[in-house]
Amino acid sequence: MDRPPPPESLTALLRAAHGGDRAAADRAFAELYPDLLRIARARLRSSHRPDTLLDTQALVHESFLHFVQGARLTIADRKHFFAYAAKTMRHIVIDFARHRNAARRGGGGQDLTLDTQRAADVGAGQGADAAAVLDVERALNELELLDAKLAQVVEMRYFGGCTDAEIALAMDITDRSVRRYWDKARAFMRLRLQGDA
Amino acid sequence: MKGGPVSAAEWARISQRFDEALDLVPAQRAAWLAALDASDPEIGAALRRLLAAHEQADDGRLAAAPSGLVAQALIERAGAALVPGAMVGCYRLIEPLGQGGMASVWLAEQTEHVLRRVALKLPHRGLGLETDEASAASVSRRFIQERDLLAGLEHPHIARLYDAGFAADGQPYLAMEWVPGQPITRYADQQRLDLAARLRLFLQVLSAVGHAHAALVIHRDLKPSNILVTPDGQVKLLDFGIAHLLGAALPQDTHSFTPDAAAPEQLAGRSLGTASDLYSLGVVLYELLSGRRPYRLPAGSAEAMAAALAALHIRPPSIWRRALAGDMDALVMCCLSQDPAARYASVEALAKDIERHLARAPLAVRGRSATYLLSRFLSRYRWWVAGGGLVFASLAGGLGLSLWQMQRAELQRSVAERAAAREEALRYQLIGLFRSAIADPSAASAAGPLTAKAMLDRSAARVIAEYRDDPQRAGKLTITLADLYGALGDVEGQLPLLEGFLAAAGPQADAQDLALVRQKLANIELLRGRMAAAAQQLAQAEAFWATAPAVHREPLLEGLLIRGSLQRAQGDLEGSLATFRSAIAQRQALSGEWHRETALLYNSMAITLTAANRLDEALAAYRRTLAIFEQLGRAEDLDALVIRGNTGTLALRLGRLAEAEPVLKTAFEAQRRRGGDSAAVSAAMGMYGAALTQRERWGEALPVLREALALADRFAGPASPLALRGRLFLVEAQLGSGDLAGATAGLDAAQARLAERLGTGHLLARRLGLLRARLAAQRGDHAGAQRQYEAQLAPLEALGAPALTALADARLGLGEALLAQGRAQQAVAPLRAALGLREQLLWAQSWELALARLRLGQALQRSGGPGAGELLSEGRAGLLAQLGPAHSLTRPTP
Repeated sequence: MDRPPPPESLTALLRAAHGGDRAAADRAFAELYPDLLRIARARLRSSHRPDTLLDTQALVHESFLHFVQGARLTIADRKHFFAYAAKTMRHIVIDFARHRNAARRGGGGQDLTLDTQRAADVGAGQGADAAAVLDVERALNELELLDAKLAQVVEMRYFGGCTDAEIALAMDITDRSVRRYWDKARAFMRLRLQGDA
Repeated sequence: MKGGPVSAAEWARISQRFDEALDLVPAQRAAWLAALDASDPEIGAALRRLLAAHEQADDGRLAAAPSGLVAQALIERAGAALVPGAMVGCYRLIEPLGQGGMASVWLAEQTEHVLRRVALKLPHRGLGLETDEASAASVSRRFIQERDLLAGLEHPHIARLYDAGFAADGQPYLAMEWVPGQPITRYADQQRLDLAARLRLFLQVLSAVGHAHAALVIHRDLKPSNILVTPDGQVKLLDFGIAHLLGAALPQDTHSFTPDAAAPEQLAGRSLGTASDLYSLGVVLYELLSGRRPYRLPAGSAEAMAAALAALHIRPPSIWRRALAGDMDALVMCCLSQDPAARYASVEALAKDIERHLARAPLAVRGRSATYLLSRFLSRYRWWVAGGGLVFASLAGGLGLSLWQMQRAELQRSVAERAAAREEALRYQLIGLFRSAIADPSAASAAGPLTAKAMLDRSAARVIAEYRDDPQRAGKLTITLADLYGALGDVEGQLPLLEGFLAAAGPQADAQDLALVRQKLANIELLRGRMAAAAQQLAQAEAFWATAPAVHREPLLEGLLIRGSLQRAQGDLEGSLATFRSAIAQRQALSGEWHRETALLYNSMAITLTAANRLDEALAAYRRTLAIFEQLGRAEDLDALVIRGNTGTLALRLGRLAEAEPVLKTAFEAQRRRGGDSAAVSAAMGMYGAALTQRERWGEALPVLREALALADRFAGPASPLALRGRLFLVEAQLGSGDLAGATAGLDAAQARLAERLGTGHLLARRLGLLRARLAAQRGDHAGAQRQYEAQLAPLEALGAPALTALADARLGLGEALLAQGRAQQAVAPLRAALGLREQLLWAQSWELALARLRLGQALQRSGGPGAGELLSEGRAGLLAQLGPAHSLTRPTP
């Protein structure tokens, strides 16, 4: 690590953030974000199959391992890590989608002469264009106001690509509860998304 | 919920009831809900909607994480540093022209050399283009090769690529001609162009694509936004080969194209040919004529899109505009065939049909029956994929090996790197041709798997048939196909192709192509042993090169190589040497000493020198060849290894035993490692065995020679000179080790094989005779040996220079036989002649020369002639120095 050592440990930041400390959450986010970028780029570089090159779950897992290998985190931090990684992914995607959506509404410049669709290939399989993701985000914002736990399941599963077991660990609930939360949250989101349509 | 916000309190109740409902079996649910309506009427409706939503099939929106957006987010962030005024290389950014998933395009100003505005394409970093990678060197080399290839593409309807490279910070850039214009479809609509005007506009497109295809460049990403029309109505094609140029800088296998205009084979990730561009042109023409895209593929992976496209039924453009029914439907749908072979054979063929339509003449494509077009769907195409893949793999390998032949075939192209970059494009075009050949229904019934040769044969037939109207292109393809035959080592296959081209060539044929074809024919006739025909073709080619020797330096030098080989084959060794010397001087002036072609000329000269029995000079020429290979960093190339084996062989023939032995050993071992067993391995191995025999290391020699013989039988055939030579080497070892029965059997076998093909006039027949004489001598029949040696003398003398080494052996053997009979006086003359020959032929310290001295000394001593003492001591010293004290020739004579 050629970066200067952080003023406080990532473990502590994640725990504080988990306990509701907004400032700690922001700092944890600032730590995670560049790492996710770095890993994503490395994957884009090395992948030979563009349509499978970036799977969010793998990205988050690799990032966690990286912090563990760098002794910034321990295995015990999994619990807090996945929750914040999911939040980070959500931020990245929404930020981008808003920007992309605004550009589309404003109308672009001249036709791109080479929009070779490497990145589009990547996204195409998931059927998640910017507008659709923003719809999900709006529905999720509503759900957050009503039921933060359900919203967290959606965030971790949809944006973070986390498994039921990881979500259960992070939220201190059973796998069965995760599935029930997800059923309920998904039904809510579906209604909201249909309402928006 | 739907229709209005829910309060947190209501949601808590709904949420709890939802859990309860899911715990019930479906049969109980209706009654439970009815009861709920009574107890908590406010939430009943909302809960029912929520439960209904739960039962819905997933629409996919929540099914998976939006990984694609994450990727795009990360990529775009990488390109965010670009702002107006920023410098990239020597270009100042002015304003963004566009932004995409892979690159952004800026209007920019070149600030050095030429002040001009360019469209500067900046591939996003983070896509693998950074130069701080270990692979950066090879990536940027490929990038630069591609750039040089594309920068050479000049055509009034193709936007120029001025420059491409990496800025100091590693940012890749491509500077292109900036074209103020609009996409062809938008232009045609705004100008309200009628059908004929649209077609004429499209003909401009085709002339540009045709030009690029002739230069073996494939566009790979043709679509309306890459085909601009300037305000004065001139078409400009953008991004020719850029997809591939970026591909050169990206990890292998990355595909970059627009799915809705990509050919099926492109989506499937298979090799592309000109036929793929024809498909994309079909998509563009469809939209240009009908105003609609033929289809839009659902978003998905490339595989999924390929599958969707395969399942798609493309409706003809006339369903959008009735006026397109007939000609235009047929023409467009032909381009959109799934099977590349069913599309137009070339851009020119498409252009001709459009011109015919404009002239109200019948179209070629409509001559094809509907069933013809329809019947060529996937089945045959798949069959090709399964059956042809292997063939291509071996072809590609052949191409790699024959790269230098390719280079020679391409005119004005002395820069090896450029030829290497072009090779791929060439292969694509040929593959397209091969596909067509395979899909040829007249050939479909052929039994057995398709060989590379069969493919070439059909492709050759197709070139002759289809390009009859286009002698220019026919010439280029003929030459390339001939080189492919050469790569397969198939001399005979080239003949009908080249002769067919010559026979069909009218006055329109390109004189330069004609000369090249004649030159190739000359080479083939030479290999077939038809010297007069070779000389005749070569003379015509040479006459053409002579009209402008400065322009035709490359083919002229190639001609000299053939001329020298022809002279050698005709026995004019002096003429051959003079030709090679002159060629070497010219090649050095053109390309310098350290050039592959120079090495090849030295190699050819070495062969002539060997034939002339000027072995020392031959060895020097071979060493020169090797030094060049080493200088070029290709010392481990198979060709270099073969030549190294040749030097070992020569060293052995010169009597440089100590030097030859390790060279031969490493030569065959390295060849084996590099290329597996082969005839060349057998050749070097046999010589190594012979060296062991000379050292009387029978235990090692015999197994090596047996293996070399087995390889020769396998790779060159049991009647080949190589196998016969190997058999004789084995006999020598058997004779030396005292296995006279084995030697006799070996000689009989060799004799039978010799009669099969080479006949009794061959030098190997003389060698066989010499060994029979030696066998007789070892049996103690010295009189018989004498007669047999004597019988070989006249035929050996008749064979001239190539037989001198054997002639010396015969005279020495004769002398020894006479000595053994106590006829020393008579032995003096043949031994003196043998010594004279060996002095002329061999290295001064060679043991064979020393042996000749010793024997002549003995003859003189016993017959009382002068000078015996000196010869004896020189001979003994030479033998001892070269063979060591344990050898039978250095042990005290009985």
